[in-house]
Amino acid sequence: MALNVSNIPVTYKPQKAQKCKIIDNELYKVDVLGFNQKIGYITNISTTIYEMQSQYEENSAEFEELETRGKLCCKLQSVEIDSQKGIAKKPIFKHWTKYRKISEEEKENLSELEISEIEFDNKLVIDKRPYFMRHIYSKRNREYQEFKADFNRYSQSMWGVKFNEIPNNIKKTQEYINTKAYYDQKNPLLETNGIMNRLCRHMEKELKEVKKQNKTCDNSKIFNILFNTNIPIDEIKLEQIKEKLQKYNDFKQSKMLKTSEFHTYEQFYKRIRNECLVEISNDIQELANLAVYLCYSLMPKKKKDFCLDCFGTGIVQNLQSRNNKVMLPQKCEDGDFEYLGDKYKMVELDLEKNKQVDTFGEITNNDFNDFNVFEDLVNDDFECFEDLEL
Amino acid sequence: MIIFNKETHYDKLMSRGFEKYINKRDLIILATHWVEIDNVPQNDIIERLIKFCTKWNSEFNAVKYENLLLSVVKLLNVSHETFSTNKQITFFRQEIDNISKIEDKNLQKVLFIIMCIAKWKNNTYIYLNNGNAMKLSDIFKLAGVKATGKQQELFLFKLNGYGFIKVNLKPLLKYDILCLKNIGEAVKAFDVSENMIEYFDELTIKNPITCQRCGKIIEKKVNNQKYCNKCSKEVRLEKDRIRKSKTN
Repeated sequence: MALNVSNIPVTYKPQKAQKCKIIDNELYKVDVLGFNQKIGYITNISTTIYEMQSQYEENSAEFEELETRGKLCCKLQSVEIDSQKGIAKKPIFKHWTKYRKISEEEKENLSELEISEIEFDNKLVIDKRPYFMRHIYSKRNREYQEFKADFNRYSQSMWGVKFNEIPNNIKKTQEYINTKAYYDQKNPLLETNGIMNRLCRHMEKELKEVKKQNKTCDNSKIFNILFNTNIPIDEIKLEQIKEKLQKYNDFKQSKMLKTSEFHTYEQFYKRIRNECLVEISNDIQELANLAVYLCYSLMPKKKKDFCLDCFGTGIVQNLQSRNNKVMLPQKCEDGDFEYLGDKYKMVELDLEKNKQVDTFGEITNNDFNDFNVFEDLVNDDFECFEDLEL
Repeated sequence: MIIFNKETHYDKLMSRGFEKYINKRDLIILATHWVEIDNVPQNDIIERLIKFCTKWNSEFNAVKYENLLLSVVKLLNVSHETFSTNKQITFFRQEIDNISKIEDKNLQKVLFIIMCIAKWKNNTYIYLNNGNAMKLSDIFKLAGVKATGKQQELFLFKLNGYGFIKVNLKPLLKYDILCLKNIGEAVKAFDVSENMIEYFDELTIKNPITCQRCGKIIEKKVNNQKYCNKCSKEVRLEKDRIRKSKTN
């Protein structure tokens, strides 16, 4: 179910700003009017209305009221945008976003109809945001996670399982019913079944699968891809690069960047690379191979950042020299598979042919090789190499 | 970690700076100390805090942390908590008997620490909600019990099942400690500290004796027992050495 405003566009008679001459010295006043605008806030309220509507049946009183509010949001939004021109704007109605508590005294003075109207408004208060917004606002996400953690701890202390894993027999108990009602009341997000929430849950589920697959990805497979078997491993050099890895880890773990001579981590990586090129080997491919062997084969459980941070170029060159044929999907009418409405075909890309005109601009790969080693040694402060590496 | 002695924590902060990067708890301790003990006017607190932060971090940006600093001063006005130093707590016979009813030693330790914290706070409950400064893992650290997050939750489930604690959700996640009985014979009074688990053995051991070598209180298992396990090994070695040197 969705807001039914798409059929007829919302129209209203807009107010017009008073005409006036432009005075340069007074232009700042218009800028001031543009501060602290509630455009985003109204948009969020409008989005929340869509989600809230999914809880109610079409043509029900609540559904109709929310639809009216949706239309009004359209108008409020336009006025808010135009308010910078000097047009008077009205704030959002209080009863839309705030509960109104009826005291005992008030109950006596108000008629039944009035009380039921207040209760109706309280039912439709827009004080929460849809579930999917946890991925937009980190504060909302934190609030939601803390809220969930508290309920999970309560549930584990009471029933020994997490709140969303409670078995059906417990769900019938009064204790659980009360807790669930409290959960719905205090939940900072609207966990309804609106379109965006459903999409969000679908995406979360899919991403979970991807993360699972990434976790199970075998290190040895990556090693086989990155390691160049044509370059032999020298034990002495391996020991030397181990020392460099230790230095790299010490620097990163102790977060020494602020107190060090380097301004960025990139500069530190460059220093390590330079030291390796001078002390261990002047071949970046060999260094990359040693780093890959060390990180993926000898220390498979540890972090692999060292390889790509310091010897990314060498790894790319190793990949290029190992396998010159790469398969890429290319759009065509008689493609083998379909993606987002278009057909694609796997086409073989010959890197040797494309080597001269590549992403590195005018510099060819062969030039790049020489440039890499010598420029690195001579000049510590070359910005172009950093660009090339990216 | 729970701070039992704010005075020593204040001294640490003054000499070494923040443990974690500009955190609210440390700022509150500093501000409370300045107001209560050094009698610094509240208007000067923000300025002092900025000076302190800049001293330990030259890149500190007061504008960026304005809200944090203001909230610290606001909390000073609201909270009535005094700058407490170590406080003594007392355990009663009935409470010790309650703890001894549990068979699992680790569960006993956890309950003991929970009771200590409640007594220290002068309450019959402890808050374990997510926004609280005290974490569940802190209790296990103090108890010296190694457990994963899931196992920790299971401990609470067991204690709830035995009826020693009762979990409440409203308005915040709170655990009522039902086995606190501040009546009858007082068994032991001690200062709360990070090492208070040491008193646990002393209180729960059935036939306690003092090790003649190290002074530790241990459970008497044999009639002639004089030393704890560690010391008895060393005493035996010493005796062996003397005997062998005599024979040579």
